[in-house]
Amino acid sequence: MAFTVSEFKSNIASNGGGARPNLFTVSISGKTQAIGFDADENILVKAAQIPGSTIAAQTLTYLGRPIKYTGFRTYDNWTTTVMNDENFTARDKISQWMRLITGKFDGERNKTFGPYATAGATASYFEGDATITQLKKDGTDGPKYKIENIWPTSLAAIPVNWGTDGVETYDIEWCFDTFTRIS
Amino acid sequence: MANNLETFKGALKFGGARPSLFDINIAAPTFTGTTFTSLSKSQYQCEVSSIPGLTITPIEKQYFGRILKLPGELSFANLSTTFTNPEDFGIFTDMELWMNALNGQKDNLGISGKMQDWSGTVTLNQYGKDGTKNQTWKFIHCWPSTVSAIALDYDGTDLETFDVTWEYSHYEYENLHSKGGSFKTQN
Repeated sequence: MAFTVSEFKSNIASNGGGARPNLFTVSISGKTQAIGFDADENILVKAAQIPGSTIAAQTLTYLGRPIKYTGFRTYDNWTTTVMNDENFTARDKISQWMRLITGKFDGERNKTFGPYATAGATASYFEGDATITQLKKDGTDGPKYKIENIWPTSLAAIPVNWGTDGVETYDIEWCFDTFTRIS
Repeated sequence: MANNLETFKGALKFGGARPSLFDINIAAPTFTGTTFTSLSKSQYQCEVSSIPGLTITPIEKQYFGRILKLPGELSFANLSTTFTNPEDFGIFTDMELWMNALNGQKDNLGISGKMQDWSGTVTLNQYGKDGTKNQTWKFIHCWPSTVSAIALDYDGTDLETFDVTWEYSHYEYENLHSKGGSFKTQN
């Protein structure tokens, strides 16, 4: 096979020149605006993923030859990394979201904190949505994915150390039901 | 999309929280016959810790083969601290006294009493770059579960340090920042 660099480059260029992992925006919506991220807080999400999924193979054998049928489809949790500003507003919203789901830190539950499992409550009480948009190099929007029915399952600790320079960051791990490409 | 560097700088309004701007304070319980002499120095000797995380363990239920994740219960990770060890071994000794009160090394006896009789409160403060105390976390019913060994080595050129791992029941959080948003107190 003849290998021509210019042929490779022109092929890549004809499709936009390669998507860049550093060009993206995220928008996280909670049940209410109070626990969803505002525009500034969404900008502070410095790392995320376009989610993947797995369809497990169910193997049957016939005369010793394996045949792979489809099994369940599963989704790994979605993880975001957030830069922490001095006012902690984004982190406070996530811990408040978790308190609304499970009750207060001291264990108290009432009609505000932890009622999702009571009669009449809906799943939307504790679930939100997120969208992640791949940006093109010209600044316009590329593919956009909606991650449906998210809720925070883990808010990571923030290491503090008198000898560490930099800006604090922390991870949020989200459970979700499914995702769809919306544009 | 119209984002540019000015948009980002506008979003990070206060220049970012810094991991080096914190201190730790320890309030121990009062034990008969035991005096803690050095715990008050913790704000000068605790050099590493972490702002605590939260976990809601998912409960997985299957509906027609699709796994749904429902929220389970909230749990707190242990609090970890690292102390510089001065030659008087002050905090290290206080930790030994506290752990001996919980379970004596020789007599294997502890305290029969309420939780506040043998647990204390550890407070973690996060400061802004202007020196203002911005956030506090109070760890309630806190007690030392592990005091690490102190490594010794002829080749060592740094100060001695040791780790203390703390158990606690929950924490109370307060955001003192003037632009701290809507959820300034969480308990």
